[in-house]
Amino acid sequence: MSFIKVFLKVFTSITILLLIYFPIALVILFSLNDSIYFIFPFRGFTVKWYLKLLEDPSFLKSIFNSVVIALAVSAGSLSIGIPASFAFVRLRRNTLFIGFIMIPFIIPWLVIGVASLVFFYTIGIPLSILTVILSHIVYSIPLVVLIIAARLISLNPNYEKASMDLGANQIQTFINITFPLIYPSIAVSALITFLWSFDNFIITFFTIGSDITFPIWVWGSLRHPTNVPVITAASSIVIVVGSLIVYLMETYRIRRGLGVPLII
Amino acid sequence: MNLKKIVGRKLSITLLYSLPAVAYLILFFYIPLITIIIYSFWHGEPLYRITRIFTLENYVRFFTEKLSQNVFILTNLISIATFLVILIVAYPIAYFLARMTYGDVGLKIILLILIPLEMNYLIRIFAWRNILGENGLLNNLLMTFGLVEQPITIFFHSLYAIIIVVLHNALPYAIIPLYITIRSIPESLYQAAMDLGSNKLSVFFRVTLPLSMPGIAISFLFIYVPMMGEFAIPALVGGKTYMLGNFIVRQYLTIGNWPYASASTMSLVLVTLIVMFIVFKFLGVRRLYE
Amino acid sequence: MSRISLELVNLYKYYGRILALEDINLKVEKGELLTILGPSGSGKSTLLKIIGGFEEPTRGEVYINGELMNGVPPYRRPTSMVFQDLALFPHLNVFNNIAYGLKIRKKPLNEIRSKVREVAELLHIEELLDRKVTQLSGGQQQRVALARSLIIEPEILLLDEPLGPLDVKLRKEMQLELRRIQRKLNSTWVYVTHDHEEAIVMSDRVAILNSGNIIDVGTIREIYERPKNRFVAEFLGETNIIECIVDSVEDNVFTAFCGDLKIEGEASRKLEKGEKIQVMIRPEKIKIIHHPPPANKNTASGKIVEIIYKGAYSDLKIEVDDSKIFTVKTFEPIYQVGEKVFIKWDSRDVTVISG
Repeated sequence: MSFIKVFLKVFTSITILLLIYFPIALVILFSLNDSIYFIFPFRGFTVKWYLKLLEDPSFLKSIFNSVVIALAVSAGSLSIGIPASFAFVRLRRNTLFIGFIMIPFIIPWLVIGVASLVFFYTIGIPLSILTVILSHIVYSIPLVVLIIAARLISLNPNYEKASMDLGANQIQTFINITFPLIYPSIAVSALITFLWSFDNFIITFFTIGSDITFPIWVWGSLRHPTNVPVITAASSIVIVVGSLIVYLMETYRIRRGLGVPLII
Repeated sequence: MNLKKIVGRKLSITLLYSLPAVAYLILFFYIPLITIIIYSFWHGEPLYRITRIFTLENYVRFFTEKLSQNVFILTNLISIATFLVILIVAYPIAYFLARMTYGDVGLKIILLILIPLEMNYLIRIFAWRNILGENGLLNNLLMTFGLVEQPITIFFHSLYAIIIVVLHNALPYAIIPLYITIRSIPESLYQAAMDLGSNKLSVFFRVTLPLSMPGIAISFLFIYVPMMGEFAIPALVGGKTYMLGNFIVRQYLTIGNWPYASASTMSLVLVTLIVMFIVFKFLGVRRLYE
Repeated sequence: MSRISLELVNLYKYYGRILALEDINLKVEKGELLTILGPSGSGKSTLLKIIGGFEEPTRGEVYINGELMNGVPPYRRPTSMVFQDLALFPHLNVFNNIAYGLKIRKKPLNEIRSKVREVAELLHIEELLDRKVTQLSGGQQQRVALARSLIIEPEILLLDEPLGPLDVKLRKEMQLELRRIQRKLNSTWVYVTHDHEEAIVMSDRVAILNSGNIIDVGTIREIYERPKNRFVAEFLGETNIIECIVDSVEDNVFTAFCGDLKIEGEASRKLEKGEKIQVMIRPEKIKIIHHPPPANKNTASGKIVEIIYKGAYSDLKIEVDDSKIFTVKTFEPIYQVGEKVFIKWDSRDVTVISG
């Protein structure tokens, strides 16, 4: 028994360290190395890749665009998704409705990407940041609905009843009771859709046209080996900032009892 | 009469709430989907030449031509093989976290795995390229310590590289459902099984494993479905490995035969939905025993 | 002079085709505490929800202070409900929970403060106002829920088994406390419970509900001593019910043969010779004697077959001549299983409960 436990403990630790953290740590490490290759020994400490990065207008533009897209996707999918989650809770035994909302969530992203591409081309909308936003929201709606509906379902229906009983109408009840109680799930879904959209490559790839986002910038830069250190520097920034946001969000989520983190 | 009025009002509010989502998904998801369905029944030729006559030739071609058949089978094999590799790694971890840690320690460790993975999809592929590549870290180390003379290429631009990268990407999504199902098996069940004379190994095979089947099925979907549409990982680390995603991208963007590309996409959608249906059906059957 | 706070007229409630409430007629006077007593699934919570406006009756009318309430939403009804699970708002502290109804009504802050203080004092929770509701004990949460409802001065307070989760000792305390508050405020309360002892302690009047029907309404004494039928008799505590055939009726006094026993009692309604009836004798009305009684009616001899110790008293199970089992309540712990005893009772303690 204790042998199995020790074995599993070691196995878990090694997997997490070697498989998950090691590659990411390497990226950060080599972003400070004075060489264009990922090769030991170290050639020397430098921040020149970061300086070079800050002079790269396409990198700055890609980050800016990604943030704009992610903000728009987050706002758009929340304003559509919040009311839909209320409907989702009421219709949760209606397979047709559930299927209708969830299919964009369960099919491969590639399908959303190519369908959007063909659709926008056919009706003559030129590909741009706007089309990226529109296609991202397709996937974010069910994502938002899942997170908020889960919270709504777990909410005691007597809270709303008690509020109405004490004289609050539907709108007052929503403002004073329902919204504060589901607020954490709204905040979490706003962040998750933001992060997801910022990071998405597969759908963006088809709907971006000649514009640029951060993942598209990475994709483009990968073709030029001399760019490797610059990508390393950019990645390090995104890794550190992103991990911090995710860490704060997920600890908030566990503390608020919003269940296990689950996004894909 | 009164009841009907109330039910009617509730229903209309529900419809109102769902209206924006329904309208949006119809406009930007279902109509696009229908658009490619329509394309898939037209006659197409490379360089975006399309003849608008109804034909089944694109589907016939997708399922009969050697190239697409091979790609389709290979993609399924890779997806399933990847799933099995991930399962072998994820199950012991999930078991450890669910049965041998206390309180929310398991959840916190999952969080630790998840933090670097909720973002940075391409960055992670990039990192692995630099580890497994011909001039990468692995070969650098192997050659420095004199273990090999020439750079080994088996891990670069190969199937193995794809599996390693997906393993890295998808591990938490396999661990989470497994953790939840194993955690939800009540302790008393183990005690009862032991009490009835099962040893630890048979408790695992007779209790833990069967009861964690729903978790295994969900992990399968979490890995299989995205893999069926994946194209970036094979393109960046897969070398000559050519998956369905790459095939479809090439048909749309390089060759420019949209009807054939659309038929391939719809076949992919169909197969994914069928697999999902079977898995959920199988899950439903399992619930009956619980 | 009394006036009617609540009146229910020919109330029916269907869920789909399932009948939940059937032809309910009920009046509750101002200042009265009416208990709706019934087993689980009898429809008592549904009835309360209809009064509160959370459900609409399929047919029939609800009047509060003479005003028709059908179709009026909960927030416009002069009722307030203390929920079974209390439903204290988890994101608000005790003060804000209690103040909620007044804040919704946009009362000035100093009025809210003084009213919260007042009601908190009534319920002895002044010390808790800054606490989070999740930090309170079960009994404290009850008091907060009650304060939250009382502060809006509802015409009718509805209580849905609010004491359910408390342990026995605390529940007994709270029952008396609730009764004290109700008397002090002289407000109308409708109290739902499945616990007949709670109903006995608390109510002015009781309505007994079974499978959607009101079977009996009256003061607890009326119902306890003159139950309308076997269900009511048995629901209000252990009792002895005996099948008899009427032998003679004279000046409101009947005699009946019940197997080998001869029972005499007051005829509460018209009885015919030869009619089959059920009579009830409460266990505490039966006395144990050690010598054969002179008369041959309202008495029996038998053997103690079981003693159920209940603390201050014991229930004896006594098997009489023809294998009937009588339950007898005694405060004297002197008996032993197997002992032969005689029992007797008074003819005024014999109640005819059905034909």
